[in-house]
Amino acid sequence: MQPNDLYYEERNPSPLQQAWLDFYAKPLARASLYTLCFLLFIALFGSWLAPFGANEQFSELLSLPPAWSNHGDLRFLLGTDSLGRDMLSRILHGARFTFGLPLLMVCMAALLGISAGVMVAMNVGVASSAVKHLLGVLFSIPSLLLALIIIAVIGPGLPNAALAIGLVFVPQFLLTTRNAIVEELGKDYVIASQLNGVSSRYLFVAVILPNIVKPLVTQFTLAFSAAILDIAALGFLGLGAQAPVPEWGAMLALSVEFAYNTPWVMALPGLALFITLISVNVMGETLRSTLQARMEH
Amino acid sequence: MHKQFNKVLKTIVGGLLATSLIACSPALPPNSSGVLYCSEGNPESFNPQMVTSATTLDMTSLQLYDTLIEYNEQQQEFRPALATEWKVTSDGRVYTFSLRENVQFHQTPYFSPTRSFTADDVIFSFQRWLDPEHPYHFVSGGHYPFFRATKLDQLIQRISAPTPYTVRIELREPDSSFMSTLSSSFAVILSAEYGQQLLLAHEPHRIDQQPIGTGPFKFRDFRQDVSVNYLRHDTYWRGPAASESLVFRITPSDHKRMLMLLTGDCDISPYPPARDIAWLKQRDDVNVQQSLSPNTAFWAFNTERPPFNQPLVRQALAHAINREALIRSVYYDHAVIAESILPDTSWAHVALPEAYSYDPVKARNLLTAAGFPNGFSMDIWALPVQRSYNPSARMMAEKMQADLAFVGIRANIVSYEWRSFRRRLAQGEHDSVLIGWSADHSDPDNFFRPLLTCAAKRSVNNRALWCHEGFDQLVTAAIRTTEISERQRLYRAAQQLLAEEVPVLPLAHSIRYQVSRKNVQGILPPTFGGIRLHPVYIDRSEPGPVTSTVTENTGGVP
Amino acid sequence: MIRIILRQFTVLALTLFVLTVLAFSLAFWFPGNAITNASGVLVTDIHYQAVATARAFDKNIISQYLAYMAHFFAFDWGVSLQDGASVWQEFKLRFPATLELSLLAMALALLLGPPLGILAAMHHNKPIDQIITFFSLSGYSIPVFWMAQLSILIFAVALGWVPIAGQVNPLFDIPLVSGSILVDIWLAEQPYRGIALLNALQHMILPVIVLATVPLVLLIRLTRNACVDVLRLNFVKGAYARGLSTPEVLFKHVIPNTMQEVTLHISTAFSLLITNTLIIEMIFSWPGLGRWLVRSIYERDYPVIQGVLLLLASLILLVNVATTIFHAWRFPRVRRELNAT
Repeated sequence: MQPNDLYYEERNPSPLQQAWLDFYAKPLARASLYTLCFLLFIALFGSWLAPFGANEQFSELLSLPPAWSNHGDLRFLLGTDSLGRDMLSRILHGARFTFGLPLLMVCMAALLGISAGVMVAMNVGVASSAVKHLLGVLFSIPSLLLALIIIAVIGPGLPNAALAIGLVFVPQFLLTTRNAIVEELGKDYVIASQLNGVSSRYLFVAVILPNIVKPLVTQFTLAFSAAILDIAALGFLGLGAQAPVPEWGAMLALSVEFAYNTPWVMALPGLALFITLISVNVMGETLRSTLQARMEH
Repeated sequence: MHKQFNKVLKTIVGGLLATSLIACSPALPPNSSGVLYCSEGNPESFNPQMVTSATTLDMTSLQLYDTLIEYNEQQQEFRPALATEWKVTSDGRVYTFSLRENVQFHQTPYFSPTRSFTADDVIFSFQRWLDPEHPYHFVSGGHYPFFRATKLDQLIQRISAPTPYTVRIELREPDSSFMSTLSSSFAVILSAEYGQQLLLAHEPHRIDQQPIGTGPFKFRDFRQDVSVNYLRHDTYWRGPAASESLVFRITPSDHKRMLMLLTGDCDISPYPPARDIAWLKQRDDVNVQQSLSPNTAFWAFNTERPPFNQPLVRQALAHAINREALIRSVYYDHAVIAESILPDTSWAHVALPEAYSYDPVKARNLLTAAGFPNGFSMDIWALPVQRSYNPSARMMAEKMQADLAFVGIRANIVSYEWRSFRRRLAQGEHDSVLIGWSADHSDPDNFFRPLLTCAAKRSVNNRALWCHEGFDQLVTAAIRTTEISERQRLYRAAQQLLAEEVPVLPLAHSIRYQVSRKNVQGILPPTFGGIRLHPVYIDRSEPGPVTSTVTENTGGVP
Repeated sequence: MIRIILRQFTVLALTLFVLTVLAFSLAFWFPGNAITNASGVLVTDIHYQAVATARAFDKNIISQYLAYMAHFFAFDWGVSLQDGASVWQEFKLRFPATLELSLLAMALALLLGPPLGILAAMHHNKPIDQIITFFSLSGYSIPVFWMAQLSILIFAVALGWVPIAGQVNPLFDIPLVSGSILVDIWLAEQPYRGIALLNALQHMILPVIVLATVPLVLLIRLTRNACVDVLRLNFVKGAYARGLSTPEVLFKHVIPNTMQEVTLHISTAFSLLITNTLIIEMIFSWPGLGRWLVRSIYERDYPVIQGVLLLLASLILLVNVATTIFHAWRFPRVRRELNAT
């Protein structure tokens, strides 16, 4: 510390920055972050990276095992499925539907839900607790079941499934945001700012927002993980992606018919899904705990 | 550390381990001599008169009922069943059947017969589909597709019983396929007494849900999607069945059926996955039976819907499909390319390969000529169960999806549970459907009149909804004569007409497979009418169900 | 306490009302004819007019809703569009099958989850904790349909320990009375009930374990986190300071306080479990509601969808409310908070 620097202040990172640094310091969390970035890259550019088209059929090379097995072929690193389609290419193409699509839908749901939640909380004020209870209980119905209701109305198919999943999460974001804001609004520091006479816009952006990051981030990661699982589950049940879309859940559903003699057809999409989900969950969990630790100070 | 807590934990873990140890030895009924047959779908009804699917026939006809006569494929002749002998007048119009005496109907908790089988039962059963005035004619929907499509309901003029054990059937005109039709598994005999009883109880619909027949097994219960249970009919006229009970486990997935067979959860399983047949044949704990019942898989276009009402479009679709690749990837070469709707084993078969050859360029040109230079989008309905003619319609549809995409046609695959699939097909909701036909009897007529005539369109078997007068005249003329060369000429013309009009695209003629565990005795390859489970039993003398190594192969053609 | 119960029942009644309105309106939202969607009776049917009148379709929407509720409580839920079978009759047999599977799985999760969570918390950040955390995180991330399929291949096919699918070997010929296989075996008059029961349990092991995974790992994580928090509190230190042994502290102070937090989330675990039954029943050919619902959605069998969705959702809500009430009864401290809000 320089003694002559009279005005030197130790630059303390903000709690949010600090939480981020903590997060980044954990190897598992970092690994999951890298995996997710990689998945995002594949979701965006996978179709150019893939050696073959998702539905390109090689009818001479049916059910070829992965390249490292004795009967494998180096051109098809992860083998082919029962119609002679390259598994690697299908998985690369599929990331768009199983990872990209839920991400997009959850982002949109978050955007809609959070802004609506802010509007409700800042303008309507504290609604009656009965309504809060009612909604809380209604949304204890899990997302997959709600998505099923929507699909029952609008019919099966990938666009419909994506829409259903998007819709399901909007009210959840709305509720989380509203509840978090309402809770903060009652706290002393907010009242103090209000007494200072800040505009409600400033009140929200500068005063409340940094303090509701934790519930929002938590909700986002939970919703994202649930959305991935839901879209894959719908694909598996035959209510989401339809053939020949290489969505991982739908690929798993197809592979069920071949699992015994060609296990890689089942193992690979499942593994991809598992890695994706565990990365999202590890990241969510770590973010939650670091934010918790930092925000409580 | 934390002793008490650890103790609790240990108890829990110990309990779990104990449960999982129980799980390691399979618990089976100790005295069971039942046969588990894994079936590929739910039965539509328990009355074969009203159905068309082989799934239902396999589960009902030969197990629960008998017919008047049967067809012996080995000797290629008709043989007695409920009728012991028969006479035909020289003009071929009046048939007289003498009936077997002392044939008992099933005794069940819901019905106790007071008399044995007589001519009354034959008249009751035949009148049900013949006579719209019959009290049972409209029960359970009132559709008799087989009899309607073969026009048997119009062919029979009168049926009467001169004595309690004689039945006289008068035809309007001689028909060379009459005996074949009568021997088919659809022409079963119901109990007139049971019918009367149900009428009095005002529950006529039960006749098709809780069946009574004279067959080797009697109905016990049916749970949708789970199983159909039958018990032995102890006073069966051919002698009691070899096993005490017969259970059809409903398992739509062919892969799951195969696994269940390997683990002993099934004894017999029809339609193993085509790609695994070679592998199954090498295993020594199962037997693979095969039979060459003539069949054809085809792709039928709904000719009532645009654009499939244009022959040009249908021809284009025919040229767009690489059928050779289908044979390889769907059938794993357990089939041959179909060059006509009529299987190549029939004497009337005419191969017309150029009509259906794979030629995407020609397909595109035809589409342009028909006014669809940019293609269109369509639905392919893929039948949801495995059939002898098609082991995996779903996979076939995915394969064709890629072929069609190449000529600019976007195809969606549609599939429903088997029964609603058939119901929706019957209502003509489809654009096109991957389905097929297995012969009910040996006459070539079986591939034309029940499938593609205007009468068949009304009886719902005509999946192309195609009605062509010229074609109808050709195939009707062909059954009015017994002169082989004349019939050949007529069938040739009919097949050429089909090649021009393409209401259906023939895809493959395949082999029907069935797998059974090594300790299943007395099993025969399935025949025209389905599988006969009367003589089948499980030899439980072997040590373990899975570790069987040495057994004599008494039945089946591996 | 009575206030809380009354309050919870009001919330329940209101939510159930909202749900029935939702289920009622589904008939209008589904494509096609609302009367057919609600009753399963086609326009071409001779009873169509009678059904339309019975369901008050000639009157205003409120009478229609009332007629719907009347039908609902008379167990006249219409007939399936697929096979014309009564939805209620089928439901009556399928619901116990689903319930049986879910209750067993839930019991397994409750039996194992909290002890493992506490074990992890007691060894916070030590290897045993890390192992348990790792397994719970992977258990949470493994897609249940993949896990079910893998377990079938490993335990049923490769090892041959358990059967592949179904409720019981049909050769036992257990009459179908309640739909729940254990109850049916109990009711069956058969000399081999013991073996049949064993056989049914073997069929159940795999689906129950797979189904229990998600609620189990959820409970482990919740218990662990709650317990870690409790262990930090001063009264725990105080208890140790008073010279109590570890088990005493554990059973007298830590576990009750941890369970207070965990109990609230049992309903979340249960609702996740119910969604997973949909998938598990498909894979294990279990004749329950889930499989029926999924197929009905695919087949557009609206009367079935309407009935099953309403009942599944109500079941989840009921469990939710029951948990809240139990929580308030068991942990009096939280009553004040519940009253306050």
